[in-house]
Amino acid sequence: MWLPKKVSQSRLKAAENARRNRHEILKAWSQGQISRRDLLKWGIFSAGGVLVAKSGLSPFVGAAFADSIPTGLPSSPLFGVQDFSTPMPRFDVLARNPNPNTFLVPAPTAQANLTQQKLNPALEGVVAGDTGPIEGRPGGPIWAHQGFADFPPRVAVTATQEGAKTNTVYNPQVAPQFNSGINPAAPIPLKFHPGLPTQNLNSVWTFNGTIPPKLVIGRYGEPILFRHANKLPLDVRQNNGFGRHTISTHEHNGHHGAENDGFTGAFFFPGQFYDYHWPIVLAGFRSINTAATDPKAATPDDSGGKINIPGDWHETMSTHWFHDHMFSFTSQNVYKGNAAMFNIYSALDRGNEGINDGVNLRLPSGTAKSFSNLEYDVNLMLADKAWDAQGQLAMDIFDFDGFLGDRMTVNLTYKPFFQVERRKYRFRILNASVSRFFKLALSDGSQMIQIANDGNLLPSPVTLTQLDEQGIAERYDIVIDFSRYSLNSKVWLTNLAEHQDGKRVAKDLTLAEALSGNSADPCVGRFLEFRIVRNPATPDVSQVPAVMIPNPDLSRVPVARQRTFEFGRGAKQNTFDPVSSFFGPWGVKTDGGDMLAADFGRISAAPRFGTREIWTLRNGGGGWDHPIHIHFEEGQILARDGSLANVPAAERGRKDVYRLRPGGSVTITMQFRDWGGMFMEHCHNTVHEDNAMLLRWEIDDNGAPFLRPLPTPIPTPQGVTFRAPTQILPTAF
Amino acid sequence: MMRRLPLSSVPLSVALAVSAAFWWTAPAGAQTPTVSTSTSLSTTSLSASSTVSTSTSSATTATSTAALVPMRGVVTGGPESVVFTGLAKLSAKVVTDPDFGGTPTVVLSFDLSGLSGVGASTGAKYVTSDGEIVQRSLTAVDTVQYTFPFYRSGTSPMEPSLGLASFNVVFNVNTLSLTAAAGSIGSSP
Repeated sequence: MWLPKKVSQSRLKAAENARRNRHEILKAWSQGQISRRDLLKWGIFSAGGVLVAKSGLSPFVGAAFADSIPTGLPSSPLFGVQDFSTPMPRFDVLARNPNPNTFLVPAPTAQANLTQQKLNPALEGVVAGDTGPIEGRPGGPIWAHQGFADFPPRVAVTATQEGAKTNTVYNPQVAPQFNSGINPAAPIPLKFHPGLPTQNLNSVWTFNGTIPPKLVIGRYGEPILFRHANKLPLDVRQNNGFGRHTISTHEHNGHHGAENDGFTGAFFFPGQFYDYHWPIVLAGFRSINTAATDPKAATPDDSGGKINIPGDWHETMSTHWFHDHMFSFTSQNVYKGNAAMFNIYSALDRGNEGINDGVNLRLPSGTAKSFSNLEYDVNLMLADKAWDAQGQLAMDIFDFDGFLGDRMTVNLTYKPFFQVERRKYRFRILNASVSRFFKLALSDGSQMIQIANDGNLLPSPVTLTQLDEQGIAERYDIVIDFSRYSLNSKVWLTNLAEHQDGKRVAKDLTLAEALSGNSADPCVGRFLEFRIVRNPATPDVSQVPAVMIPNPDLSRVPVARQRTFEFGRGAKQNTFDPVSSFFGPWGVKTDGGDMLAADFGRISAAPRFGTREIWTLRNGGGGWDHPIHIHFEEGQILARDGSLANVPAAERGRKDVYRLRPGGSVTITMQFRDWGGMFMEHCHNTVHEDNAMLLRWEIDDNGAPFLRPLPTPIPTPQGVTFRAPTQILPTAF
Repeated sequence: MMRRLPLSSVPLSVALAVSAAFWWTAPAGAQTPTVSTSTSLSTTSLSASSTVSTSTSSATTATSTAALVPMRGVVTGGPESVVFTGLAKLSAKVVTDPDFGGTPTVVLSFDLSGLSGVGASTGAKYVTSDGEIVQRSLTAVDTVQYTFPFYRSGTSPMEPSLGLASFNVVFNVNTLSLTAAAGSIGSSP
């Protein structure tokens, strides 16, 4: 969000005053001191949920210059920093610790560990003498790890969530020459650029409290126990104006039991941990290739070979990420730093380009290790940010259309450069923004090869000069062959998607327009500089095969149900649980019913275990776009606007985020199998999600008492209680 | 990186006026009219597929129009010059925004798979499967240009040459439908 380049000092002053006033209100709101209903009652919010135009609160009013300004924040100062003046750090790889049962103290347990600890009264709702469980996972058998005995964790990964601090243990897992010369032993203060101010303790909350962003390395058949400890401030007011200290960590888009999905209502408090069990199995393992005889359904071993595993290899996934999913506060928490990536390796996608065994696709990566080589396999986290006059991360949570930053970051670094060799590289590109869409091209208009969409390698690679728009949370894996460039040349990754607000892309610019510097959107244009610095020391043996992972053939699986979901405005609130319901301007209409605001106690859909369904996701308006995310199951797009012909080649694999486009619809098919529990479907413009475009669905097991319907968890510091669902929509079951 | 297209050297109003003489009469696949020596300016043969649908919650309307756009042009600069001819598929979906009263959005989809190229020196066949989707705000006249990959038939599509596709599109802003389109092929900058 920004003001135009040519703006008067009085306008800037008014905008800054408005920002401060809004800041006070949003701080009170984010800290739970006032509710949205209070704001409605006071006339600060409209019934539609938007900030009422009041002088002193909104820069739109009280000044003659208000007409053309999309938002009111002054632009983020650069403190003299130049574009492309600092290297882009590679991700910080979290340690993989063997023997979780001995490494982790206390040892992980199938059901939540409800050992009591004394609570600090600084935590809201706590009085002296209170105790609560050390683990925030809901207790009892329903939220026990499914398959914990069958898939015992073999690797432990730990992380904290905490305020900003200096990183002294950076592990990029590559030598400095593959990391633009960055010395990993040098302390890394939490700055978006060495020339920008250090972030204060509560301005940024990241994994382990540090940058670069974190990366987890996993492989099929090797279950991970991810222990996430909440070390955020006990006092909910200590958030520097935005961000909530309760969190729930979604593995996007893991095929795991719901207790490990990061359900929005299964959040945990400071002082607690949550054990997420990621079994990392091929979907369909209970019914397909159960004897593990298919050579393509396999995982890398530690000596260059592979081990067969059960399941359908057509469901093999690669590029995931994980992030906060706190009910109504996801946008703030993710923006504040709760976002990381997760590379999953398989016999097909080995992370070793040198092994030629007829299964390994040999995608660009490296050769030194049996799997997960990162030298030529690079994670990129794109996110637009904004900061205040002091350089501290800033967010305006009053604009329910969506939040836009005015500074482009890659791996949380402002407009960096990255040194490459003259050979092929794989880039795993994540859109980790709150509301911004991207459309990427190389500055010379030359080709990129898209190999994956979201977590899935495509059936075939697609050669493109401009990628499709990339919505929030979508992952595009691409290959760029830098051998076509001369030594010491440069080329830039460029954003063509111009925003005027957080509702949708205003215009996909031509490359010439984007490079011209004339756009009013500061995040348009070049944002990552590739410097071609040397020839590879050894020949590039990587490949991009013409056939990668064909879609599973579902034609023989009967369609059990069809459902429709319309995403739009004007939601009504028909449930009023103070914890599980939330009112906002956005909502979801299920199967032609009412447009409803979010309530994680409401069951909107309940597919039967083991069935296949067809869902149509419809955008109810033309003034906005919604990237809709469905948890847990990968879908195949059958049609856009009713026709398969409208589905571009790069969307013909499996996906978990579906951009609807203005006035558009997407029809998908999914199977529901292997694991059960409650999951979500929501807009991944996380401002829309938080206000309140989210619904709960759960996998019904055809009436068994364990799963129909599931009670709703209600977390408190003293423990999680359960309530009956607030509502079950008539078409849910 | 962009250099001016040959097409852009023709004032749009002139180009469209020239085009207007053809677009209701030129059938799909007809000989393309040319207006300049350096490039071709072709006009649409709009298919009769205009549809209107209304969504439920907000009286949003979506108007879709499809067209086949005759294309012709030469890509120079590679191992050999390549002359492209054929029909580009263009679909335009205009969506209104009654909720916010905003300018309608246009989603333009281009499909160049109906084009083929012939190498000027070897006579070899060149093909492309490129598709491009862009989102714009509705204006009466708009120009879209982008590079596209093409390759010699039978060779890897992952090591392409590049051309430049350019389209001028004309909308009736009252009926929200595409009324004309012109396209050309040129060399990548």
